[in-house]
Amino acid sequence: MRDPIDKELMALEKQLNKPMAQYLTRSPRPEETQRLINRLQPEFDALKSKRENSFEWLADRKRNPPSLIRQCMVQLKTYTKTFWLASCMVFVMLTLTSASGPQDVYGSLDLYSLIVPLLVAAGMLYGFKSWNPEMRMVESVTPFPPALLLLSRFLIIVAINILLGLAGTAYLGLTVSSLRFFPFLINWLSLVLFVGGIMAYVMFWKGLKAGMALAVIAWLLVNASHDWMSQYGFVSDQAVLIVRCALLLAGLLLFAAAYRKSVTLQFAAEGERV
Amino acid sequence: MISDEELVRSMADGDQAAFEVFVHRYHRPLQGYLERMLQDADKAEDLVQDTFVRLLRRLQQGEIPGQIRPWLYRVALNLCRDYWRSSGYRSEMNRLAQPPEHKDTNPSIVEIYERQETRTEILQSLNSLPESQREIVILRFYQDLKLQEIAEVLDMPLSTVKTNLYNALKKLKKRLMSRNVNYVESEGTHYA
Repeated sequence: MRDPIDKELMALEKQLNKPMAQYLTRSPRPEETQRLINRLQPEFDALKSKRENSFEWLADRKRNPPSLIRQCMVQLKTYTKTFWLASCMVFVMLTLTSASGPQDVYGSLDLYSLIVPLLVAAGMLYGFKSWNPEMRMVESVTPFPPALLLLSRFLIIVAINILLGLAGTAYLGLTVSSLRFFPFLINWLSLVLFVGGIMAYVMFWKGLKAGMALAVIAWLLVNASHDWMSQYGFVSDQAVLIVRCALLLAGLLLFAAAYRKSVTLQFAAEGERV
Repeated sequence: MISDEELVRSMADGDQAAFEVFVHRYHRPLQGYLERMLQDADKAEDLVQDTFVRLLRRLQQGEIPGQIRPWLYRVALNLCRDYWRSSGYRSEMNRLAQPPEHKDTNPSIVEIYERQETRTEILQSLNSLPESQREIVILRFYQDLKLQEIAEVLDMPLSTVKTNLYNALKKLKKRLMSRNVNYVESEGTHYA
């Protein structure tokens, strides 16, 4: 419903239209407009030349490698409070369950080694929404390579899980006297980095499905082999520890390789555009 | 028709045709607006050019105004205000006391007389209004701006624009009626 003042305004405008319309001004002739354009032309030429220079500057800027750290900081803000809360809840439950269960650090009895790599994989799938066509369209106009953007999300997931895992491990270390702290830490940490690294690296070569499949296979193989070895006593704890350290290192190398690949993909895409 | 915003974006990309179309589109409205505001056709012409220059310089800085039409009128109005504050303005005042002669094609002597009389009456009526009300009436009647756009140009709340316009029109109606200006209810569109 219209305001009474609106109705009165409309009525007044209607009444005054005709008398007010008699106050005419001179309309510029086409040649006058052309003269105005001629007078404005130097300013417009300056605009055109500035635009060309700005593209040169942009081209120079594109040659610099994109910043992964800055992109991680930006992407960190995209995760909702619910996500953070859910992650914390899972780790609290995981830690409390681990505290009350058996403390065998190797094999399927170690809940951290079983669950945390799966949490990383689930988190990576959550971050994969950035490959949706709509998101890709948005990302295509940002200065960050889409592949680097996805990697930054993966790194955030891995970092969150590691941080929460470290907090949980610290709690377990303080409350469970029978826990062998360092082997327990290396056990789950190596698996998280190895499985996450495989997924990140393979995804850039063969796609998400292949990355996910290989990561799950790696997770199964590592856990099953340790179950089998610990069951039959084939190798010492020290040897297992060395293997775990090797997996940890391999995971870090795979992440580094994934980063290189993500940057290469971007430069290749730029090359195609040029 | 291509929107103002699209034209300006093309201008920002260096499109010569878009630049010329935009100047053609806004030369007449801006000239009319500034002429009514300043009551000086020559000065209005200078300020029209300055308004376009301001836009081009803004684009040179890589900034594209969001709402082009209100932005243009706001710049034009600010240029008027700068001019009114300038020292050169007072020296022009005496000359502006006599409204500039309106040029028209083939009018009869009686028509010229009548139009001049009416024009003078409207001009005097407009000049009798407070500055903000005069600005609102000119933007509404001669530039055909929406009330919301006027609010953006003058940077004031919509309710204030409505109140000012309402008060201004009541005063104008009273004054024009008392001076027996040809005052008939009409459905006609606004003159630009």
